[in-house]
Amino acid sequence: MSRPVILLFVLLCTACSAPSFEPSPVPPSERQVSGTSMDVSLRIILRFVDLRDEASVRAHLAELGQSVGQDLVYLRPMSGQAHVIQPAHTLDAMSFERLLERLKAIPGVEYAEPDRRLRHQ
Amino acid sequence: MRKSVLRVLVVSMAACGAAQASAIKPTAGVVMLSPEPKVTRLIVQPKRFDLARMQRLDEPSMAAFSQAAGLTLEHVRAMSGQAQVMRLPVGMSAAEAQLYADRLVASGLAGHAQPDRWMHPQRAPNDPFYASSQWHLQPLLTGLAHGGNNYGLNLPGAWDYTTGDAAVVVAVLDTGLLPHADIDGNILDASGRVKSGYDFVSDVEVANDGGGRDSDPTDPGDWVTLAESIKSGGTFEGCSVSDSSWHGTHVAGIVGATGDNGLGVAGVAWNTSLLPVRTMGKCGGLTSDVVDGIRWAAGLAVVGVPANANPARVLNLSLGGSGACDAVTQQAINDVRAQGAVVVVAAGNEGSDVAGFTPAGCAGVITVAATDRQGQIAYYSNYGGAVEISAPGGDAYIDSKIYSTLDSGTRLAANDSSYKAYQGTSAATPHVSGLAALLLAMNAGLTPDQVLNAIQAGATPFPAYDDTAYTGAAAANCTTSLCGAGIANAAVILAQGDSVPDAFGFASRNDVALATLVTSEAITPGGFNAPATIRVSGGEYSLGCAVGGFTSLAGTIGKGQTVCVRHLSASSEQTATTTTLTIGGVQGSFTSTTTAADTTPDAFAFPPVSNVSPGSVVTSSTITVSGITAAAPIGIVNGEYSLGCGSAFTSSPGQVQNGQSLCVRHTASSAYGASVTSTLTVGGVSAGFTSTTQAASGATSPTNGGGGGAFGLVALTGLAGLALWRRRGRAIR
Repeated sequence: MSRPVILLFVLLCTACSAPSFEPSPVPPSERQVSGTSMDVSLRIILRFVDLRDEASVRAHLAELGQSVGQDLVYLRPMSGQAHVIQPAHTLDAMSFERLLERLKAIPGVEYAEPDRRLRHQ
Repeated sequence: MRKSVLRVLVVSMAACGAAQASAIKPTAGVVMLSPEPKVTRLIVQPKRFDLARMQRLDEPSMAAFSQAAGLTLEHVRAMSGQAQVMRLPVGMSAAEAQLYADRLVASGLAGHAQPDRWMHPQRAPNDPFYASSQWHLQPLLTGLAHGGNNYGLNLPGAWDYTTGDAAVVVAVLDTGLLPHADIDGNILDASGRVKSGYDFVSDVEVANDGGGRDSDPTDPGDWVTLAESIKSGGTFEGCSVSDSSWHGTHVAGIVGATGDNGLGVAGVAWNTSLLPVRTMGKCGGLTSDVVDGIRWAAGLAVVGVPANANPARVLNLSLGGSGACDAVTQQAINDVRAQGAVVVVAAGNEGSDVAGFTPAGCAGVITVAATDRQGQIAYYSNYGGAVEISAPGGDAYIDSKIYSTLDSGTRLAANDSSYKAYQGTSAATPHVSGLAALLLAMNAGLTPDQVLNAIQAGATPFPAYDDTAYTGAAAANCTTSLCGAGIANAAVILAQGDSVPDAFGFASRNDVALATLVTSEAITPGGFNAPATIRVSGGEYSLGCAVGGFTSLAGTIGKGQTVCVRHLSASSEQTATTTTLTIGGVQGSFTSTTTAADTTPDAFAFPPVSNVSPGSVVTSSTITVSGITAAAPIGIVNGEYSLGCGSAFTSSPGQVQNGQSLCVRHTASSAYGASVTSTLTVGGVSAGFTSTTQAASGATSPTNGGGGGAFGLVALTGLAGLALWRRRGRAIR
């Protein structure tokens, strides 16, 4: 099955079952997840199995957002052919966690990790 | 007492003495140790418990030890560790003394025996805070009650081997770096010890320098105000209110503040290069920035960032966050390990199991827990099975913190090159990073796993205090299941890993034959105690010098092994051939030079002829030239010569090779009973060919050696030539 078909399939499935997230004003780029530890930012580090370059990921981001029920914003490419994205709206901790789980469940997503804050020790 | 324990004891004793010793002043990073004086005593640990504890060994006991050793031993004194000191009858090398010590062990009388080797004053830098405040770098002091010990990194003995190599780059992934008089006064010019770093903090607010990523890793300060901390929804909501930490400058100073410069503090590896990689700003840094910094530090590509011209072999991450190791960070660690980079990370300061933290809980890193001066785990340090090693991190509740480079500015930098003590696993980590840099300075070929193995193998065992006052919540004994293999011990680790031999070489050989196999004498390289890489160019080597053991393939040579080299000598005269043997990076050579060209032939002669017809052309017998290794000049007087004795005769000068034949000819005298002599000279050796014509009457046919009558004088000349010809017959064919 080709990748666009897979995404369309996932889109249809998740659109029916995914609850709608409560949108709020667009946050600062590095705003943390509301109601959680300061160590979790709203950013997500994402890597696809086969979509490695920035243009490819940007081209599929809207489709990806639809599949998880949340508009997503592309922030920047990373080393290791990963990419940093974030939801277009502030989410509470539970919603953010659900977003991560939905991203991880999408075929073709190698990993989706919160862009956690690290501190000096 | 096991051998290893005794060794630690001896090292500790030596290290204690070093604290008061004057500094050695080497001129380069690697210090050449002076030859040891002769060993005059053995340290012997008797197997019999009573003998081990006796203050004085009686004569029968000593007689037994002497008999076992094969030479007369005299009891000197009892020593700590249930051992006895015995005097040898004569001074000898440590290796020779070890043989006698081994005999004692083999006899069953001693559980352990070793030469009582001389200890030298070890290197102690002249930095004023080294002696007064940097307990964490100083020699081990163990075996005392709680409060009296010093579980430092034990560096003086290690600095005798190396103080680092500028070719080994240590990346400090932290808050950036400030110019500091004790590190590098200009961190942006790339001409000093600090290489061109990068600022990976992508968020402008966090970066606090007015922009995102850029090529300036200078620390602009990371202070957080109360207003920022309580601002709902703000970037720094919930962050601790604090002045600027200058954390990266503190960490960098522990790794490699300039040592022995009479200023401030010493670093662990003060000749190593530092690479500032700014990954944290106000309230820390994001995983995505840290991960990019990890890859870039090791020389891997990062989108939008110029390539790193100075890839690091050691990455110091005195940072971390809650949560098990994520796939993003683990992949980056895997990537840089594949590049040969050693990743050293802080266990964390939460007093919890390290498994729940990143990057401390990641695989493939060296996770460092913090210990205090007494060798116990610091109250704040994370712990657990994922910890590989411990190092001094300080504990203000117990004694003191870790002193290093800083700045006194509370928000913006004062740029005053100040110093301050911090505590934390952040401070423990750069001790291990610096140690890894020292190991790599000695052997750049070590893999990340080999570096870890070496550090763990040489670690100081954790002390176990019985007093419950020191085993409560504020202070706890470490165990290997909590704090890794032990406390990093630089002197022991570098001694174990000393694979760099003393200078060595082979005696040159001259006047060797052309194109022959020439073998050097056997040598035993000294001054190293760990297997060293051996490779050869321009010939072959043989360990043990077995004739059948020569190879040109790289291998490993162990302590005490003999080695010789061989090569095929040159095929031309007076030509040198050199074989270079490299052991642990030290090169020694063996040169043979072929013999000089020999153009002086063996003696030769032409038998005279007589009774030849007057005016006839007379040709000599043929000779074969021998005994020369190069073409020899030919000259002839009063005649002609021919190479190969064909039809081509000439009187012009020429050359002859070894093995070529020659003959001469001339026209006999036109008178009866007269002689003519031609003189042929080859390479300075001359021989005459004489013909004598027949007598005027009653002449007979020409015969060799004939003649007489009126031509007696000529005939005698011919006879003399014949006699010479017979004496030198080997040259005549």
